[in-house]
Amino acid sequence: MYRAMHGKADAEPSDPVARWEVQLRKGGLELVILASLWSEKLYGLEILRRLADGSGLVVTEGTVYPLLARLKAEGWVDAEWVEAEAGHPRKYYRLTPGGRRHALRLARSWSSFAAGVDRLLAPLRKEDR
Amino acid sequence: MGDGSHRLDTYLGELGGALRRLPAEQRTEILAELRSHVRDSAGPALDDPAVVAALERLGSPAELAARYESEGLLARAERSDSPWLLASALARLAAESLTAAVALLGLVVGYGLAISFFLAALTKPFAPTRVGLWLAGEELSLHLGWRDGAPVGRELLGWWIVPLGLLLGVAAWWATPRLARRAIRRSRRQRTRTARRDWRSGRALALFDVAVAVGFVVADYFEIVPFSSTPFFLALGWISLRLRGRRYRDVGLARPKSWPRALAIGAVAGILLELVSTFVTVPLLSRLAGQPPDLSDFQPLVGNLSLVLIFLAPLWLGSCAEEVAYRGYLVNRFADLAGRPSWAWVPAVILVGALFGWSHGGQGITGMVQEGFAGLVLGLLYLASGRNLIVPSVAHAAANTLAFVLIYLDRYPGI
Repeated sequence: MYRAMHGKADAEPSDPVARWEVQLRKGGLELVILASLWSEKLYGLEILRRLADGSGLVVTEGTVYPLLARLKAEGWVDAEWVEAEAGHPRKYYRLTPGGRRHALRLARSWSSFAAGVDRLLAPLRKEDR
Repeated sequence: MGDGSHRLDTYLGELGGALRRLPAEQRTEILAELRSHVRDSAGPALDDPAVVAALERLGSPAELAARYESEGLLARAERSDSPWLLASALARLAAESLTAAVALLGLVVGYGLAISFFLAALTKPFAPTRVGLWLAGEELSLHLGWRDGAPVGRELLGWWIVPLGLLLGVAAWWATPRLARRAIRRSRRQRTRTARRDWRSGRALALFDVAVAVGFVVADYFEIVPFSSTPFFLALGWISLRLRGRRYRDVGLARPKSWPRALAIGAVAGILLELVSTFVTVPLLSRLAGQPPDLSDFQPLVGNLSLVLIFLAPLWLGSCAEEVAYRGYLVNRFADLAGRPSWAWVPAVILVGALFGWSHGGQGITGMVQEGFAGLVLGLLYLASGRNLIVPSVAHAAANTLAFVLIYLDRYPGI
């Protein structure tokens, strides 16, 4: 049942633009998760909401949680359980010092990549207008 | 409320089962986090529709577990120094990558060497005459004092074995996990690469595999192969799968979607196949070829219940082995020859059916054509069940069992 429902949402999109966007997002996801933790500790659902609100990036929970587990295993983030007023504990993530450096490196490489792509796209944009 | 929380429990239970290969501590942590997540996103009342929606966004337990496993355990092992974690990651990868299999062996040897160097260095002060490196004739031998008396020959290192042993021990202890981690990274990359490069790359290898298999059937026909060619196909298939980084489930050796369904369909199909064979095709073929199949090998079974019972288990095992070898391995390799397009599967099944018939040369021409027909039907069952081996294996075992019963009752034509 979950498979059937999930299959619809997760199936490889047939539209070539949509397929390309899926690939593009996958690569950026690690960076935006680290960036969302830059100034405060957050729990999983907050990270997801922040990604959706701040960027319109639609990311499924099934991708984010395993990725968080890997970031923790790699030592870029730390996690702690905090008892919440909601009545159950929540697992909060925060950047480690190494994670901050890692995020900065990723951000730098992203910016230079994006700037390079932007320059190359200039002629296309003129055409589009 | 009851429904939603029950649904959540079921989901987490299934996920826990699918994550059983992760360390227990990690698994508990994951389940707790997801429980907390669903409570937050579905609301504290855990309304059923809200829970359904939240679980839907997480994906099926199997998919989610697969993501955790590929992200979690292996990534941790890549940075780890723990021999146990490295060994378990390598063991997992060894099923798909030769590099990992060799590295697993290297891990054991490396730590073994380190321990023996340390032991040599540390026991020298306590047993100076029995621990050391001796040159006995042409051979170097490292003695650790388990044996009585000093070994013969000339001792080479003397007390130098203490610092040297410590140094070499530390070096081996240092290098072993690093090499293992490098192998893990390499075979992980290999895995994603082969997964992407897909089946098309290895046509030359497929041709080689198919040629070897045909060679075995020919050799078997002339009775050069001991016992049967099936064990050789299994060994060949195993090596081929490993070399190409494939898993058993890639050829259909996997749990069916539903066991009762697979067993029922397999049993019914097998019984039908045997009935049609015994009472339609075999008499027809016997008339055409002018001779019945040569089933004299089975003569001792007539009326002999204990012999029938003794041979039942090997018969079932053999049936499954033949399915893995012919339908699992060979059909896939024939399809590989053409690059696995959808049109290639039926021709592959026909060719393998012919090969299957040929491999039953001992039963004469009628037996060979009959077995070829059976092989074709089993191959079509393989395709019809979405290339899962369980249905044809059950059918094969059921057909053979019915044949045994008929032979036992002396109702089988040709005996």
